[in-house]
Amino acid sequence: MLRLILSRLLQLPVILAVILLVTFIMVWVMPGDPFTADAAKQPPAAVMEAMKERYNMDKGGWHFLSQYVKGVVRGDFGESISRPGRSVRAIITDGFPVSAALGLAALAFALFLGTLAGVVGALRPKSAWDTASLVTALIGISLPNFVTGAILLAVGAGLTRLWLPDATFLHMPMGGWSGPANMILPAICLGLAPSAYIARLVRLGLADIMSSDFIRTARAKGLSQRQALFRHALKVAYLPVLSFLGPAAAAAMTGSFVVEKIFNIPGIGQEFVYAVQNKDQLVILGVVLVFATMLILFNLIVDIAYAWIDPRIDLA
Amino acid sequence: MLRYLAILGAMIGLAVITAYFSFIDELPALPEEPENRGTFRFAVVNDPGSLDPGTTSALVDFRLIKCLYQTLMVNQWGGEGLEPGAALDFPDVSEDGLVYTFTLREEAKWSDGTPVTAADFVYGWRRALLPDNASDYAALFFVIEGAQDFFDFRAGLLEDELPTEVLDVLKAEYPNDDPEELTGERKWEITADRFEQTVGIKAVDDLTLQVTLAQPTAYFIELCAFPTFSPLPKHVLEDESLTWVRGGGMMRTRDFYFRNPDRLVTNGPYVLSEWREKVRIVMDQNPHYWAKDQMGNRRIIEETIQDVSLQLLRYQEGELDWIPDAGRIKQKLVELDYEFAHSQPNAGTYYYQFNCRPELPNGAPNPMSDVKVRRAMSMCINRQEIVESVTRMNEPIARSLVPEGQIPGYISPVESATEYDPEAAKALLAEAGYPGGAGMPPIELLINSDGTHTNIALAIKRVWEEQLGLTVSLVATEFKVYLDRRKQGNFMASRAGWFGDYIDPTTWLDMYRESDSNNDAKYINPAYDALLEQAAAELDPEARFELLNQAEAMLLADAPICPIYNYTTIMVFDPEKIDLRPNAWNNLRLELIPISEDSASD
Repeated sequence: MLRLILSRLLQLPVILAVILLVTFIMVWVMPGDPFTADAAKQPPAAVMEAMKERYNMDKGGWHFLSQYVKGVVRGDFGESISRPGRSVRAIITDGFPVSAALGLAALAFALFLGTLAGVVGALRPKSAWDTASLVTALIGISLPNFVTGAILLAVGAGLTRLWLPDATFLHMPMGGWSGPANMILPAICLGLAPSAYIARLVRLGLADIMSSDFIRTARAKGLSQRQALFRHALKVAYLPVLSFLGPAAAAAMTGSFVVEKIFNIPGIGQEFVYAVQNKDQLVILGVVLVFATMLILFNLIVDIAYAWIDPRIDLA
Repeated sequence: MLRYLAILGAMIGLAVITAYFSFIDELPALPEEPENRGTFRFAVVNDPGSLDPGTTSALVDFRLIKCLYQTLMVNQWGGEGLEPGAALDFPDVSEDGLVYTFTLREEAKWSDGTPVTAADFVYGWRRALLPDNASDYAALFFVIEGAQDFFDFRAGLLEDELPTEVLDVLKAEYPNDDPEELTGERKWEITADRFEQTVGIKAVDDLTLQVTLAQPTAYFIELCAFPTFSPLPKHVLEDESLTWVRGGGMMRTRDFYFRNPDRLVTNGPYVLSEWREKVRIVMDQNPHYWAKDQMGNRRIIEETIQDVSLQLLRYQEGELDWIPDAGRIKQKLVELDYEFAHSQPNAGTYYYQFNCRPELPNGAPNPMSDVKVRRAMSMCINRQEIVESVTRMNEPIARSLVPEGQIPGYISPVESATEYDPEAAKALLAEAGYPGGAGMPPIELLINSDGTHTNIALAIKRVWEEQLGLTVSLVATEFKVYLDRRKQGNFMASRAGWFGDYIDPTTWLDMYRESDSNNDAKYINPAYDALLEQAAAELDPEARFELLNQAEAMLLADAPICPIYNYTTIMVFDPEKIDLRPNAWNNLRLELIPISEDSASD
């Protein structure tokens, strides 16, 4: 196990370096110039040169890249070009915890709902419950975030106020990030799609396993269907969910552009899009590095959890 | 199964902990006095780019900068004319119109209690002028004697290879220095000395500021109310931990200073109390502001809410007092016939421009270098139809580049503009040698992708194709790419827009001087430039406007541009509750808006 963790951690910088290089090349050839002024009021050429020098962009791409890597090693991710004085590190440390908290809450919700729907479906195959869970899952997968987000906001924050003006505990806040109530709607919105995946994974896994030999043995020993399911089948059926959780957690925790915009959450999800729009190269690189690190780390965590849950699995 | 539950538990635990630490804290404590005044809240879509008065140019930044810094003159509440701000009174102007002498208020103080002096104005203006800071508006100072030469000298001094003009000055004025061996520090000393010797901005004493202009400039007094002309606290910024000579010789202030509430020192009605990126900016009454008794509120909160629909919901809940720009949900507001939505025409023009260069980027001859072709293409554009059925905002249609009626005393030469007349347009195009569009290369129409721009461009593409028989292809790019292509002249026709910076026609007309860096169309007409020069030298305001009127008539007749409409802002607020007094120039006085303590917004 230790060997697994160590070797993965040793691979991390290599993978990050490759990702950084590819991102850098794409960023560098991207058309448009971060220093083009908004109001089309251009400073003289000497000043533009000097501005570029400040961001190490005056001596070509490789110079910039080498200075950037030196900075990153020291923990300095540079400064945003479009927001002078704002360090990329501050952008990440302000936004990332918000997105991470929301992402984890969304995943917890997804696990709860997905497992519930999957188990119900498996216990009563082809029943109305099963169909209902299938339909919900389909809706969850097909509806885009901006639709579910808008509906949730309209219902949770709008209609509850309109129809139940006295039940203030039901009035969800209209965006923002000031307390636990702010997490509920966006977590549901963000968790709906993964919950649908989880429901299907659990449902299919259980259907398969419930007809396997060891469950038949368990049933023969006198366990009820329900007991067999919870004590034996679920453990096995959950393994694919676990492997899905790795990338899903990385995706959820690095924020969602749409959900953060609809619910006005100061997370990191929008940074990437805005950075690309503004050609803010330093922010793009910083955010990509964070995203990549998260993805790698979560895959590692999932592998560790795998081995912990089922010691027979040998990953090294 | 227990192990699964443990993983789930760990996830929830981690979520709770990160959430707890990431929640945005309570608002900072309100200033204690005056207790009967409240908080004014409004929302914007994005955080300001910068609160540095010397370098920024964005309207949303200026709105806050005007709350934080007080210029010599300020706009009156409601935008009509000026009144003294940091200056005690209007300046004494010498008879030749060149020397302005301002007396500052003795009682004016920075938010750290230090008196505001003339040296602070010299410092702030010099910083905004210095090429080191790449100020968007450095060129506004060029009306001041010696400012442009100083700017060019300093820009040259920052080059690796010193230009001959700079070498000449160094040889004549600083014979003891070897130009090859200058350090960054020495370059800065020479620059500071040069500024003192040659630029007409002088602190005569602590309370007297004297400005000498290069030539009489009717609108200089307007500039004295422009945020770029704000003072900066010399005693704070000259600290070496904040401002020093960087590698490459640039003298720069740490940008960090302008976003840090603990360090920012201001002389305006407010101080910065909090800036939480993507959440809110809180500004509280400056305890040392000399006119704090006249303020109507003691706190301003600008919330960042990206989705304008969400801003509207918050407004309806009574959590906001004002939505300054609800343009993105204009359709919704129109359909709702929403009573608190107000449309405010701006001193800005939406227009199309034609590339006037003799050759296209690919080297082929440019048919649009012919004024007849440009006029024909303009004459097909039905402005009324565009504002009625494309933008559906019924903006005032524009027949001149300088918005009609927004500059008191100036009459726009609208009779010179092209009128909608497709038949005449066809005839004119035939006259130019392209009957029915035959022989015209395909037209590339450059826009930046955005719903409104695209719709307008599609409407114009259609009429050009149907009426004139042209082939038009839309090139819709991101904003930065669009700006780049405009600068490089890599377009045939493009959309454009311009908001006036100060209340004078030259803020638009100067753009089409041959040498102007914003002349993307490369319209070159020596007669036009000569008229502008003549107007600049004219001291009589009426005669000056007459000359500018002639110049604009020439511009409109030559049609490098086709004005379409004047920009309109949609705002949401309740005039019964909020005495906002919006105006075309966006000259608001947020600190004067009375907000009572018990208002719903608090």
